[in-house]
Amino acid sequence: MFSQIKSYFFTKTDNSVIDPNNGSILNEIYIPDEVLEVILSHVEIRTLLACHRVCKKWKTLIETHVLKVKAQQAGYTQGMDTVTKNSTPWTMWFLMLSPSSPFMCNLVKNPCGHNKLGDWDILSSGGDGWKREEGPIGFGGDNSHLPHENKMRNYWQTKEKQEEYCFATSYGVCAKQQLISLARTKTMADIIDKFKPIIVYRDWYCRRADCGSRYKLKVCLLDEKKEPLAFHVHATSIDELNWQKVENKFENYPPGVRYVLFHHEGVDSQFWRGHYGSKMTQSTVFLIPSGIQYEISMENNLPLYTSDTEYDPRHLMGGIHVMPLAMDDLVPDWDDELEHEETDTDDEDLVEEGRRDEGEGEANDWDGIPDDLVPPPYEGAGVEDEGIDE
Amino acid sequence: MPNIKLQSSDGEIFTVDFEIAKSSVTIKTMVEDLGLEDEDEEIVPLPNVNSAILRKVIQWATYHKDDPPPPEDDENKEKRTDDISSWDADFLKVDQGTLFELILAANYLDIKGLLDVTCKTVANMIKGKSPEEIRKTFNIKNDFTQAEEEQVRKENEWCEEK
Repeated sequence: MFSQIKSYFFTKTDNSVIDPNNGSILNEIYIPDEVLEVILSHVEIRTLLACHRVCKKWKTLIETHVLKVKAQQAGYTQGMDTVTKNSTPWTMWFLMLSPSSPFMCNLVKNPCGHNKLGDWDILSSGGDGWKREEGPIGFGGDNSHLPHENKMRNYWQTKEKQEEYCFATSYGVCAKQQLISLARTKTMADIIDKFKPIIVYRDWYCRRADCGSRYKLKVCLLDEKKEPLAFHVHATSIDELNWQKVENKFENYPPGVRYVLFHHEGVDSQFWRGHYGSKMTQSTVFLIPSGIQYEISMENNLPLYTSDTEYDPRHLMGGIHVMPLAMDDLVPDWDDELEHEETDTDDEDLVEEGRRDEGEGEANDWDGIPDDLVPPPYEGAGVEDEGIDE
Repeated sequence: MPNIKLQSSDGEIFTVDFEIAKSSVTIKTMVEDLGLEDEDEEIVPLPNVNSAILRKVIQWATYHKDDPPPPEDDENKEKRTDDISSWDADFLKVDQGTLFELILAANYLDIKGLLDVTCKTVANMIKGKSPEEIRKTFNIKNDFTQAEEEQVRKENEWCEEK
């Protein structure tokens, strides 16, 4: 009660002596707006946030001009057309420039395994389960290090870990996922709904030189209740020996997106004891402001599946705890996928074949793998996920 | 034309090497527009700058005469506030009034290097300060109503959390 009266009193007093040029006069010297803007554009972003609360004049200058200038200096407006630049709200610029900016940095925790298997939901540990490796063991490519330009500041790590780690899978399907919250604040939720920043995801995978393996990536956009709104699926049987990048983006997605579910899995195709399955590293999800052109190169990239009929959304029911999938649930016919590359297959047929395959068991599944990598028949090889379906 | 004469607002005349005076885009343009190339007699009036400030500006420009020209507004180069040379830092150890006068002069004379370094100095003065401390530093009044202040505080909240 008292504090209310007190603050009322003080507000009253302050307002009665406000100069119309308040904020433009710094210690008795009138500073024109253009100069004040230059001064403020040199203020680092955290202090600029305090400046935003100093007075009306500063608030207006910062919202209309200063942030745009700073964003330009930071290179965020490169490739952005003028219309977008001018219609981008100040909150978006602030978000981009803030040290805790969720833009232009990797939102995946523990993307390479420096924290072992921490921060990931392990959905299935088939065979001998997941393993974190320091450097890809059994690597047969030219360079076990990832190309440097693909490294990106991590939102969660203040110091970049220089060590190269990766995750390795085994002879039963190993699947893990991470739920990434995009809208931890109301402002960010508004920005996502109104401006739909581009959501880019990326993953790197490879196989051992001495064993064939398979890899699958599934990225879903979830709403507040963790129900899926959109999803992308990529899958392959790995031929190349070098690290391969899979990358794609979500644009113009429906409103209400609050989470990204990043799920990847792998298995070796020869049923060898140990960790001969595909390896993954540097899993990445990042946001870039809408209006910026971000081209996804399809060279060496994996084809994308998006329609419900290609991929059964029932697996996503019940929110984030996605049932572990056998590779074949995902792309009903492995060979079809490899041959046709794009989504030109008749959807109904895919579902039909998928059902048939389940009945037939493992027999067809090795057709896409080079002959020398196909293992001798092995008893029990058809059972991939037993015990985890519960 | 080795020298040029500059007249401050209070009538003092400074004779300056034209190469140094040219770091002011305003003076350079004025000289070119007036076609002063060979006449040494002409005096360039600078009605917005007093002699004390003009002396400082000339001192600064003389010291920096061999600096490489400032880069064109480079969009990719992030500005840093901690890259003030020690000479500049010493040079700018002046009272706030003088600092703001220098900023205004640098703006009027269009000397990008001086404008940048003086503005950076002001930015450094408020680094890490709260809104109230910034108001005190510059003698600015809080002209938000309580409701407005609450609104701005809320708008800012997301940026402060992590």
